[in-house]
Amino acid sequence: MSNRAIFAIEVAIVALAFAVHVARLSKKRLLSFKYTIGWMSVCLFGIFASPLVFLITPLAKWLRLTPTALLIAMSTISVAVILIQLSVSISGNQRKMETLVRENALLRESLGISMKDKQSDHSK
Amino acid sequence: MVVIPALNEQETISKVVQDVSSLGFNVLVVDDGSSDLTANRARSSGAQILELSMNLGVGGALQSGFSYAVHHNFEAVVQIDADGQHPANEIFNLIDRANATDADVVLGSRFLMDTFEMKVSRTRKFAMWILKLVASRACKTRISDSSSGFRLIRMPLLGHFSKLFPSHYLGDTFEALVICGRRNYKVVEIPASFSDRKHGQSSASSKVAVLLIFRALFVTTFGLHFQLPEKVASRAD
Repeated sequence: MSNRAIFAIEVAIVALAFAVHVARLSKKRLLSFKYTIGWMSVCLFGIFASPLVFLITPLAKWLRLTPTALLIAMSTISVAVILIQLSVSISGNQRKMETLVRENALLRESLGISMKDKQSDHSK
Repeated sequence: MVVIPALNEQETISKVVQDVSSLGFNVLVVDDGSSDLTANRARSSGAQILELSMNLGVGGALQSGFSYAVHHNFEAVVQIDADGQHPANEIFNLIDRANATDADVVLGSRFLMDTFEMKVSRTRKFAMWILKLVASRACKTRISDSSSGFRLIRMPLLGHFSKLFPSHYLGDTFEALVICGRRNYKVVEIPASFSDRKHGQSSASSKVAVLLIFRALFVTTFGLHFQLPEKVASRAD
């Protein structure tokens, strides 16, 4: 078996292991449906694209890079894209949370409910 | 209405609320997630209270106050600090100036008072000088105190701020001023007395403040700040 074939199998195994881990996280409700689908897509891409690793060397040559540099560049870009997407998602959640805190305060004021009163009720 | 954003100001809030209430103003204290008795003391002093369940920063607290004012059909809001550094009777000066000039924002400036001298490092002084230049250029008038927490804001700007207002340091003061100026809202300044803080701590240390000032300059230089609708027509038109 050639080195390329072994490398393709290794990539597929890693992607499969990653998919199993994602599925476990999803079952434990630690990952939302949206992110489960996203990560599963990445894993499936890894599994099905693993036979295409033989394309890396000619592609690297065409781009005048070493195969290692090409892989590092692809990984870095992928990670950057994922981080930006997560930052957007976190920013959106932060905005929603701030709006919720403000609206909660306005609602409590209009209903005449003090937070301290509510806390003392819970502690009774 | 007078809006007072407050974070852990239990020592001073009662006096500030009583001073403002005695002048006949509606007072709203926005408790920005205080861990002390700020909300209770403000309530027992006769203020309306908005209790935020977590700290949102001065801008977040102010935005809550602006929303409250808009919901209750107030035409204008005066913001003062909860630490008692602004004399309550000078609120009338802000209102008079707003009525006389038809301004959207009236700022109370510490630096227009001859008696005031700020004890800060040279670096911070220099950074604040740059802030003044940028704010003055944007507002097309001389701004001497771009980070003042003593100001009047009126409709329609108040309505816009109730929907969108930055909560980070200098976002609610300097950046808000710059964007007001750039969108043709009228900003004017009047002298305002300022006494030293007797209790509590200021919101940023000197070194951190300098860094945050440069962040604010970066944000305004590259237009990364929040956006406001252009002012359509002035009330005088």
